[in-house]
Amino acid sequence: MTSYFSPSFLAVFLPVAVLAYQAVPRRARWAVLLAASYAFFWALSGWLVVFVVASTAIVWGVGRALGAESSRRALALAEPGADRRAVRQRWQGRMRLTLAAGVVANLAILWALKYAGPLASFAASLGVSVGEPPSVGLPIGISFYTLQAVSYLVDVYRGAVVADANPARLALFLAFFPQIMEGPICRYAQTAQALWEGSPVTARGLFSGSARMLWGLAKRMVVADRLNSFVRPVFDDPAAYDGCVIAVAAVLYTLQLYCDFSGTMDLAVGMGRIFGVGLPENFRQPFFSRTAAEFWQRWHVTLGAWLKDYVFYPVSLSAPVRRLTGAARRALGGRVGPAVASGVALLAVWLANGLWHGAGTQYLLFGLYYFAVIWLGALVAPASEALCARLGVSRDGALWRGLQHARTLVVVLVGELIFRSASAAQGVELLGRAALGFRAASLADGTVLAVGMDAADFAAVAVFAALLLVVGALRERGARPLDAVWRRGPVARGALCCALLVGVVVFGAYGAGYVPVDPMYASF
Amino acid sequence: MGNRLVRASRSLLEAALAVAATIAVLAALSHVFVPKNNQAEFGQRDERVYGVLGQPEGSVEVLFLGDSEAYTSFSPLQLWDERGITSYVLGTSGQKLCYTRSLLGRALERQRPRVVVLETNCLFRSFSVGEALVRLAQDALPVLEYHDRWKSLRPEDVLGTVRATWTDEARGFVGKEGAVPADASSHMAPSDEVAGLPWLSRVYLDDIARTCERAGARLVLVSTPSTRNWSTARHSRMERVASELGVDYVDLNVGKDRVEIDWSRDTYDGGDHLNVDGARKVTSAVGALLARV
Repeated sequence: MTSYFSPSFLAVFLPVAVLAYQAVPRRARWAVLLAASYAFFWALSGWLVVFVVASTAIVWGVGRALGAESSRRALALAEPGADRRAVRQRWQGRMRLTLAAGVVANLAILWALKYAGPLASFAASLGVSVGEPPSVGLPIGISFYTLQAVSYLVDVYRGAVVADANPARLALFLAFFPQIMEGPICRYAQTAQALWEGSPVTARGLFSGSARMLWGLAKRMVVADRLNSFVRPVFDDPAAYDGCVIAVAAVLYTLQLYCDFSGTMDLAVGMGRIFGVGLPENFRQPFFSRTAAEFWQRWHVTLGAWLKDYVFYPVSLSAPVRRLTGAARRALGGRVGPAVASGVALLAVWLANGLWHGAGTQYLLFGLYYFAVIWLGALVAPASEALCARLGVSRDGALWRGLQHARTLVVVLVGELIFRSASAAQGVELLGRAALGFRAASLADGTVLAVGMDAADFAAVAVFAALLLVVGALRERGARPLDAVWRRGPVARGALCCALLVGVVVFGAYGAGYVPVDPMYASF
Repeated sequence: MGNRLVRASRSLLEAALAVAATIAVLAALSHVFVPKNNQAEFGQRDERVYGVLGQPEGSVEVLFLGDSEAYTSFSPLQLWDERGITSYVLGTSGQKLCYTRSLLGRALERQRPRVVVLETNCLFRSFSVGEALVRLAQDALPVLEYHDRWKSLRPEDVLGTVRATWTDEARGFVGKEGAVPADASSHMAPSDEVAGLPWLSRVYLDDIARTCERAGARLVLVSTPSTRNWSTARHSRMERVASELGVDYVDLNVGKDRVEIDWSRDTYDGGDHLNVDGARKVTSAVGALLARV
């Protein structure tokens, strides 16, 4: 068992987990989920499970300490004649220290396991020897559960949630197996109690969850795994290909990443539904976006929301940035000034976003690229609006919207080309070759078809991409396809699941001739 | 309570019907996707071993199972020439025992061998429960294995029947030319170690033994000479396993059955596999053994 897509997971582990969950009394279902979650973690990462246990213990202990300090602060504030301001300041200082200890401990584990090795190698490449850190491997999902751990601690500190006295509930919140590999990054208030309650498996949940999982399987196996046959050879040896092939690879990689990641999220959300737990959505038709900022509100939604709540707002509301905002407003006006000052918080967000994906320079460049695009977009927005008004161009017209969609798509493709590159330098080089060395003849002379996918593969991808577009358009209009099928009765439900499964079986890129691909975000 | 039970029963029935309908559709598609003849041009995978299906019914006396050690060591044509024994090699590269079991089942559909020789190297190759499940599913629903044929389906795939008109001239043997000497200085050095056998291999070996017994075939475990793959520790394990199963075990690397391999001339890849000269020696030795059983 290596992922949610392993036959042994889908045919044995998950059915056994669901049956065991439903078979035990409701009050014991959390134990089944926790046991299944640790068993899954063990199967994928072995003894590294100790790190998720350690993080859980730290988070539970620090959360309890924060809760206790919060209670004592409330008592101190309630004392007659208390200097409320002094009490608040004193306890805020203590709680900040406690919070910092918990956050630093969790980030230190993440740092040691994920970043220390690559940074030591990077330093060595610059001629600086910092010693070789011990390599113990990377526990599955550490980047995801660490963010959940930090969000819980900050939420307890802020008083948004009450510190959980129950370590088992916290452990389940952090390690719930459908989300441990690639998220979504959940907040404690969203899922902890629902996981603990042990809602029964219902017919509707089973249908809705299974159909959602099959849809995710189709995205992953029909499109993403098939595109890997083209994308991997090009990015493994880009010097062997011309600019046109690299440009096509950038387009196909973007589609591959979307289908891989959102397909895995479909499985996660689907499994959550089967267990009666509503996991947050991580994708909302991102390719319908009109701006890069909107794209990131629709792509990896829970990471964007986490960065907004735990990086952007704290930095924006910090005293130095507030002073900077005030000064900028006075110097540049009420609209441009705050936009200029917001660059500080935005830079922090995008550095965090880039580096969260890894220590490679390509991720740093990826973050800086989006920072530049989004920040400059915000800065020029007033001038752009004024220019449109002067020229009489309707910003809600089809032409303008189409241009915005096209521009956003190009921005995204450039970003993904950088993201997939082996380094920032290679990203820039490939970008240059795709833009300046583009030879349209390669599209027609068979060059593209010689890379790893034949015409039938391209046709399969095109048909499924069109289907994705249609479903996306329906969802943009508020349609809920699975609800509609549910209402149509058992024949429609069975037919949908049957069609999806048969489609995956026949058109999936698996078996002889295909290289198995690990879920792409599981390595981040 | 009663209503809940009725609703739950209805839901289970709906789910069971959906699963049954899906399996029925996949079974129907399997008839379309399965290659209509046992040749690569019809989409057949591992054409060389499936050539056994093209042999006249009941004509094969000995089946050789295993991985590349099997198909580079046992030569059915030589065996026929020297002993008058008909045989076929069902070896493929990196074969896992779940596939070995599958191939044995397919061969037994048309053949009644008196001996099944299992080359032991593949027993030590690990495979997962998932791989075993996939193999079982592929045997039951061939569309799972041949699904990619949607790109090349022809009208006759829909209505045609499955035939096997082709067989491999060398009966599954792959003779390798050339010689790369091996360092055999520590080959089969004395050791108290006993190599571990993957638990799933043991499950499948037991099943293969039972299958042979049901088919009236005698199972013989044979370890072919290989400095890279074989060791005293593995020999010790196989002796124990053979004893537990009550089957014959012949190790051509050591002891009374040892074959005199010249490791400077009889291997084409430094002791991993035998070349045609090594295969000639092994086949002669195995022929003598088969003549006795």
